[in-house]
Amino acid sequence: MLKSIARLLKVLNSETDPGQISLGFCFAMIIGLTPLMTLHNILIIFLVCILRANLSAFLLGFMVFTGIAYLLDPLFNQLGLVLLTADPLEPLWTSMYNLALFRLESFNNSIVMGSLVFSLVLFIPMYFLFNLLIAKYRDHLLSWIQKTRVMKFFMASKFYRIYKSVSGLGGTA
Amino acid sequence: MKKIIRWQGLAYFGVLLALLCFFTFFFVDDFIARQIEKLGSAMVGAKVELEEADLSFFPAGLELSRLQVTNPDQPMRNAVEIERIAMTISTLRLLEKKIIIEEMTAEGIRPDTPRRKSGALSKYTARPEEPSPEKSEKGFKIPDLEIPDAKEVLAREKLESLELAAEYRSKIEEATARWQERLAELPDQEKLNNYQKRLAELKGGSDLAGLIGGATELVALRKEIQADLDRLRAARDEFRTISESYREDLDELKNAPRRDLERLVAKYTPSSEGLANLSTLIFGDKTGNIVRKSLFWYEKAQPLLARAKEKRGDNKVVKPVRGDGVWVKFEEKNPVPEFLIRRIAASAEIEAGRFDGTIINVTPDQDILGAPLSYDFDGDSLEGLRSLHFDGVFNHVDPDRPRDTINLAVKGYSIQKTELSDNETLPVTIESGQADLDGEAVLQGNDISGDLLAQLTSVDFIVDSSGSSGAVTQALAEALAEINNVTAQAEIEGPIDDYSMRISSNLDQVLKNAVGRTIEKKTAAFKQNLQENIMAQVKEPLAAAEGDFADFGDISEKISARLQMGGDLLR
Repeated sequence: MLKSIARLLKVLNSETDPGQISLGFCFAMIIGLTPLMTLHNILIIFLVCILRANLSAFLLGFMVFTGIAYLLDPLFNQLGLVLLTADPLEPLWTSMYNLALFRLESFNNSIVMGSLVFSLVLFIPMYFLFNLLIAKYRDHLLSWIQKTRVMKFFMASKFYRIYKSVSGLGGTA
Repeated sequence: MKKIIRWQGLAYFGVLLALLCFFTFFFVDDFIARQIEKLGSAMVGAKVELEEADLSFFPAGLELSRLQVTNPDQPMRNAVEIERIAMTISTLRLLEKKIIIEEMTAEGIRPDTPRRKSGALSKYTARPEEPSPEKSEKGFKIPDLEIPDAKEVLAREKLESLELAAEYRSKIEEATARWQERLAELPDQEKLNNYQKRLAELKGGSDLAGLIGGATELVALRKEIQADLDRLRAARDEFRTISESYREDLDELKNAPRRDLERLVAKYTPSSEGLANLSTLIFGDKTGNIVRKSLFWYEKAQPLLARAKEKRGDNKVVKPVRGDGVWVKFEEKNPVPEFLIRRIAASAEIEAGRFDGTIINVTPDQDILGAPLSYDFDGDSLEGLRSLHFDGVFNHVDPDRPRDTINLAVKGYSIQKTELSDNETLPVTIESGQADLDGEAVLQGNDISGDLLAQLTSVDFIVDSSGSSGAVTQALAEALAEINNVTAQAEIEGPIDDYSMRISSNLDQVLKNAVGRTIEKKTAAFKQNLQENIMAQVKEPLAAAEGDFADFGDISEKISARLQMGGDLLR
């Protein structure tokens, strides 16, 4: 966990493209919020591998969003149930239900449907939001934090040694 | 993001897939075995253990070795042990997340086998032993044949005869006094003598004027006499009616000792009618246990027959046994259940040997499949058993009207040293014999009805009557020892959680007759003794009542005498 955070800080503090970091977070949001053993998550892992998404951001984001998912499961369940039992959508669900690929995806489970729709809807807004936050962090927060006493104390800690140990791993993931 | 594609990522993904395949190949068998154990244990309430699972991919199939299902009520025994289960699974349907097993073979099914280690689960507590209906307070008990002494009986019982006699005497004394008063009011001897004297005077006149005047008086006198005679006749008729009523009461009183005798004999002697259902005592334990165990395992098998579903609009929302969320099912073009075993070919091994059978359409979604589960098992050339057959249908195609049936036929079952009843008063064991069993049961909704017919031939009953000094038990033991052929029938009816069981057999009449003879002898002696004692008590009051009635009858004679005299006056 400490290594993951250290790697993330390293990436945030480097010249890595904010878009790569945000993409890593956004993919992590999907895989973290939705149940792991689903078909779409294989696609997400494939995309994470093939697209230049930041892996450190993805791994840390996955852990964080998995934790959040436990809190949001009741909401996903309700949302999924509303969508799956909505009359106007029934023809769509029925035709999907008769295709093996979608059945394998478990789309007719209320939590899969609720969490997937929730994370897909938030994907693009969150991508731009993360971009914005990273830029703000680098412009204003980074130089200020490095001058604080807390940071100086921190730089003498074990965590900082870990941070230093991973600093040679390259910033573009 | 100057370069969007990271081509080396393909290699990462390939490595990940390879790792996944590696783990699947090497660890999936163990994973499946543990899952079967986990789900099975949760379902049964005791340990379900599997020695090995072997998953094959082309074609898709699964082989399980040595499956042991612990009996939750006897953790040191397996309810069933299966040596090998092999199945072929439809790969295409697996993609639709449906487990469709086209053919399953189960070999070496052995019920009730011993375990080396306890299969109890700490979460599960064995069911407390329920008292069988035959042993509860409502159950059958052999009546005691001890008859009390006649004098003791009379000391604590009131005799109706004595009360009636006292009542009768009081009533007739009162009536006698009343009629004596009435008699005093009626024309008596003196008045009649007076009439006679006056008549003589009127008839004795000699002159014409005297004769004419006398004739007028004579007519008046005769009218007066006639009026008195009418009063006497009316009194006589009224008395006769009342007297007749008292005579009937007296006859009733004379019968009262007999009624007392009958009432007390009935109260203090046992009746062989009380032994009308000895079959329950003898066969009830065994039959009750079979029914309770069958219903227990039927309840355990429920998840394989139907699952909980609720409707939302036209779609079904299926509640999963475990896991989060709910699964919404939509209309399928070609509906197929999520889990289905189309055919199981099973061979079971019991002590007597092996029998084979098939089970068709095992699925919790019979409503989707549109066909019920059916099973058919046969065994012949078994040791100590000529043939065994059972079949049935678990029909949950319409979940609102489930109907499950079982038919059983056992021919030529050789019985050796089988305990039928461990009842303290009448422990019965069959030393040897042959049995044919035919049974059927229907479970419709929550109501069960069933019928089991057992025909036992060349049967040798052993009754341990040493622990009982009761004459009835001794008589029953002797009678059972002489019986060779028995036909017994058990009928079950009622709600599944509160059914009633009725057992009858030709033993009932035989045993009733045997005990009846013993009862008759003792009852006859008691009756004779009681009769003598009752008569000793009621003899005097009865004689006094008869005397009172005779005295009462004297009044009638007096009225008649006056009527006679009055009648003579008018001639």
